[in-house]
Amino acid sequence: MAAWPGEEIEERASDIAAAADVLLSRQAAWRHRRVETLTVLSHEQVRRQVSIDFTVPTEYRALLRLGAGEFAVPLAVLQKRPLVHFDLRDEEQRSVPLLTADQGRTIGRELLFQALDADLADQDADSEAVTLAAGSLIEAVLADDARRLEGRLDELEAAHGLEPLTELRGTADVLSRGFVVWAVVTALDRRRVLKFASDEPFTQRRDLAAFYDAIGCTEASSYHVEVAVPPDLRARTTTLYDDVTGEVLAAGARDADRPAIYYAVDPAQPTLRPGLVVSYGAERWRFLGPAAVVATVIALLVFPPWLFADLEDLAGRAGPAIGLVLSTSAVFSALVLRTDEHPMLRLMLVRYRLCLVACTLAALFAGAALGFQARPWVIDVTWALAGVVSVLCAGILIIAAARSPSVRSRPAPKRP
Amino acid sequence: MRIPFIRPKRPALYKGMSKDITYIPSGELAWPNRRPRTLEEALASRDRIRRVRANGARPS
Repeated sequence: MAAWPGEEIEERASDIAAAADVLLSRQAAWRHRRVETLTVLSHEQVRRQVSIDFTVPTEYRALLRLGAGEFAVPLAVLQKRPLVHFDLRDEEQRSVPLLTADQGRTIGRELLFQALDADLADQDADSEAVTLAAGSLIEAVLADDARRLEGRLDELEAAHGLEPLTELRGTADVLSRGFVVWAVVTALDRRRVLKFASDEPFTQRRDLAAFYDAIGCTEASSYHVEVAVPPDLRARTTTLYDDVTGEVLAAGARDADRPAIYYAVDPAQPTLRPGLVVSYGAERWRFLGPAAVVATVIALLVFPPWLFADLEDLAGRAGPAIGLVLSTSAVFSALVLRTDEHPMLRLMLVRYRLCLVACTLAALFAGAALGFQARPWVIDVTWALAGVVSVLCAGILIIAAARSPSVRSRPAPKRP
Repeated sequence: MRIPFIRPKRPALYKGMSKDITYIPSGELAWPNRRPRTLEEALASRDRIRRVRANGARPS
């Protein structure tokens, strides 16, 4: 009688784990290329699309067989948490199935025993007794009960007089926090490309720079990453670097709207915590340039008259004041009341928008003081405040516009 | 005290900067950096584990 799918995995798990144990330890040896595309969806979410181009070596294929022409391929290790908008597809954009959590745990159990056996290979210990004693610890890891994992490993080592079980510790740590993504593919006799994607939530801080985890850059012999920058924003700098050592691994073009980085793994220099640092800036002529021009015009309309004009005399004639109020309000509305912006750009420009609002309100109150023919001291105070505020805001906006990126990208900086 | 519009002067890149700027996780974990094994070693390991289980019943 044919085995049920769950039973097939029970039978095949140790073979799959034996092959996966080697393949996962030498990922760059059989994965030719990994391409990541990071799309900034909002100020709280990024979509990460990963494409993995690989060839499973011939001698491993039979071991990875699930039955009936299907094979299990370890694609990645993901953290145990709900996946948002997860998708796995092949070269022809067909959906690719995954092993279930239970099936993954069955193989995970074998991977943990493999790691323990590797630890025991160099030790003079009763490997049979240790293997049996480690059973409950391994089941706890698979049951997501990572409590006291270190303590339980210490107890196992002490009880059997073992050297540190480093291989088991490392594997147990990863499998208690994550799971292997097992893609079920139908053909392994040729080079394959599988693509997975998911949305990653994050908390936007005040900085205009972002650190994207790039753990995968060492998991293929070559790594390509590109960032789909939201409209009206630019990536001022894009750098792949190691957060632990501070070493720059690769750098992309400056002020680019889709910066791309290529990195080839150097097995002699392992990276500890690779990440992609992207520093964003709002395009100059999207808002900052026009806002600086408007603020400067307002400052010129308000500040020199406060210094040189006879405001009391002007108060008798409301025409210019009303014109000033109406024109500044119209420009202000056109620039500020935009709803079609990317949320990240909106967040980035909020302080500069407030500057323009302050500048416009200053002009509005100055014009109103004249228009309503307020008392001379009120006119003086209002215009003095308006003059100072408008000059200050114009200055801030001019500096921000001058420092913001233009629409032209520049080549990547040369590495030392 | 932080002054609005004035960003603190920091180098463009430095060790541990992921703690100071917006951090976007990948959701991935790195496989532990273990001693490389050959397929023969892994198969021998598989056979040993099978033998232990057959002798001592399935660990639970």
